Amino acid sequence: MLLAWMLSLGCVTKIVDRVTVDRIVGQAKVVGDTQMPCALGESLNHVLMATQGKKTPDLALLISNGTSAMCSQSTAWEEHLRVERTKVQRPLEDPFRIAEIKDAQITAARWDTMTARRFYQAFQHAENAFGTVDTPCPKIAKEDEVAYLVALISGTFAVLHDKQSDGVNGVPLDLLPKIARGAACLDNDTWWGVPDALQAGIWATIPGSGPSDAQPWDLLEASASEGAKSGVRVAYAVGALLANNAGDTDRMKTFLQGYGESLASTPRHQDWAFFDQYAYEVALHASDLYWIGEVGYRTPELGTFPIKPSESLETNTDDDPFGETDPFSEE
Amino acid sequence: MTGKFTTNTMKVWRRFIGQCALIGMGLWGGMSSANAQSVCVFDPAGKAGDYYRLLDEYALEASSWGVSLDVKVYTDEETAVKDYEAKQCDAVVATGVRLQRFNNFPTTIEAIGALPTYPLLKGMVKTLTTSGGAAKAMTKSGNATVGIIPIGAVYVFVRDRNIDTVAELAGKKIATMDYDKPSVVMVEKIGAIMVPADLGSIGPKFNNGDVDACYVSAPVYQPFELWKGLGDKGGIAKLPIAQATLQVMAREEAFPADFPAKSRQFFWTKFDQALGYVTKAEAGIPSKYWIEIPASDLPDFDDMFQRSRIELRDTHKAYDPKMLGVMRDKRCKMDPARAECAEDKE
Repeated sequence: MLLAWMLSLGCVTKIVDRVTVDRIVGQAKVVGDTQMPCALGESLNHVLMATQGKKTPDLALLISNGTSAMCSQSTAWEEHLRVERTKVQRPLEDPFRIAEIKDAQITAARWDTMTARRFYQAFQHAENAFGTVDTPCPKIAKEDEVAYLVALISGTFAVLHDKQSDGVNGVPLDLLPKIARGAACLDNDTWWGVPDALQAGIWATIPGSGPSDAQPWDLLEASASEGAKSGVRVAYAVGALLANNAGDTDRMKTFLQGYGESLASTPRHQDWAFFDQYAYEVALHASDLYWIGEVGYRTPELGTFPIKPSESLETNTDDDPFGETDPFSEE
Repeated sequence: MTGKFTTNTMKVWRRFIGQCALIGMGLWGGMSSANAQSVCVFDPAGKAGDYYRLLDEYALEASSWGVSLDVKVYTDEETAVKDYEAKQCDAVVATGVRLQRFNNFPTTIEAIGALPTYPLLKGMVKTLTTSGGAAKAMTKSGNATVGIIPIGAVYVFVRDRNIDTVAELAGKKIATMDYDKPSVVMVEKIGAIMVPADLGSIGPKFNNGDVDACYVSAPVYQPFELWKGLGDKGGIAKLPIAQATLQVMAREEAFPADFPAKSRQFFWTKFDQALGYVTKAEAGIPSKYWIEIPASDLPDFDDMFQRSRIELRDTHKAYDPKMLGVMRDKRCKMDPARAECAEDKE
């Protein structure tokens, strides 16, 4: 009875929101593990929904949907890797090659569908909590900025995963330009260059969505490099993700190499270990797709790339001690 | 001299041995894509895009014909076409407008006002897929068009919905792709002012009011946020001015002789799937924006379209006469009462 009364007043939802954002996120963000938050998000989501009365705990549901999407996303990634691995490893003559690839593609699309739905629900809860993600900026309390950042990332992934699964969830494509503008509502330096990186990445993805004189890829590279100095490398992950999507392999390798160099030079910011770990996994997936496509197995070390036989042979001819510069030559 | 000859000979041998080793290493490990042909695919949405994924399906199907295709995505169309010209890829997927310079026979399917409905477009693609004569005409100078994918009817978006007749478009500013000769001619024909634009600037120009109208297909409505330019007063004339297509062009010498026919057959079977992407995007546009063109105004549009086509055929050599004739026959079969059916100008 008391619970019902509290629910009707919306007291519980306020408490649920604050406990989720302040306490649970507060604890999760310092641990460099994405699997625990994803499992927690999956298991808590319906419990949080059950606390709805006249009001909905939108901030809490933003977090639970966003983190639960990481579970299905991780499975979708594995299936995409299976597609690429099968393409490379099974010879064309293998009678089961096509069936195996199609099976992996269909499975990947199913997981992409679920991932898109969860990320989009996270984004919708964010818009319920904050108002439209766009400019003019909604009012964002200091302690809720992290939730707003999760919304920006969720919205971006919602579009990408929905496109990869035939648009089953109908995530509108104008979400991306809205996110590009809405990203400017967060301070770029405080949030490790991610707002500028998202904005530039979206400008690069949708023609005409940014200023006509903008050089989005240059901006994105600068944001990634600058943001990584904080020890949270989300901007590098955004760069690798979107360069890979654009089919710009050279640029993707630049982001991945920068990521690898940053890992060697800059320790992880322990207060935001979760975000740095998630960024690592996003970048690693882009790298794994590349590695598997080239040599059939995944990345041994982020920031390195497979050396093709042709490259190694070319390099060796210049330094051949038995060639023109051979010190043992009779000439 | 002898020493230099010996050194050069050694270098040649080293390179030869290196290449043999490379071939050996390619076979080693059973890498199925060792001798893959590459296809450069323009999809503005990148790897997440519908057309990239369609081409991924195509590559899989092609593998059953013994052809290994490496699909590379490009978000910039002209770069994809230039890479094809530079032989960086064995095939390319780009809009008909971009590929017109290679062979205007298949690209004439995009002719202004030539195919006003999707069933007509489908019928035309079927004809091109099954006709032996068309198969010959779709190869020119070693480039074979091996697939046609519908990407949507092109509609005129206006910031003021009162502009809904040919006469009212006169003097208005229209964002025009300057590499698209047919559009330039049509804009001149209606007496409008051409404002040069490209894929990156067409949205901002329309939304900011730099132009009064633009012409695009429905799938760009959302990502370009064209609702901003349409506002409360704008609208979209529900009259296809052309059928945009992606066309697959392959270098004949890089593929087996039976590849073009199999490839065209594949894309024919995917016609409805590809059209589904378009009709879904069209259905996503709020109904309030669509402007029904009164039947009484249609003859004016048809006349303007026909005059444009004839000029583009005769003066600019942009359209293939035979293709125009076949499309006219299809229009007249669909509706024998059309004015153009009484005379034979195409």
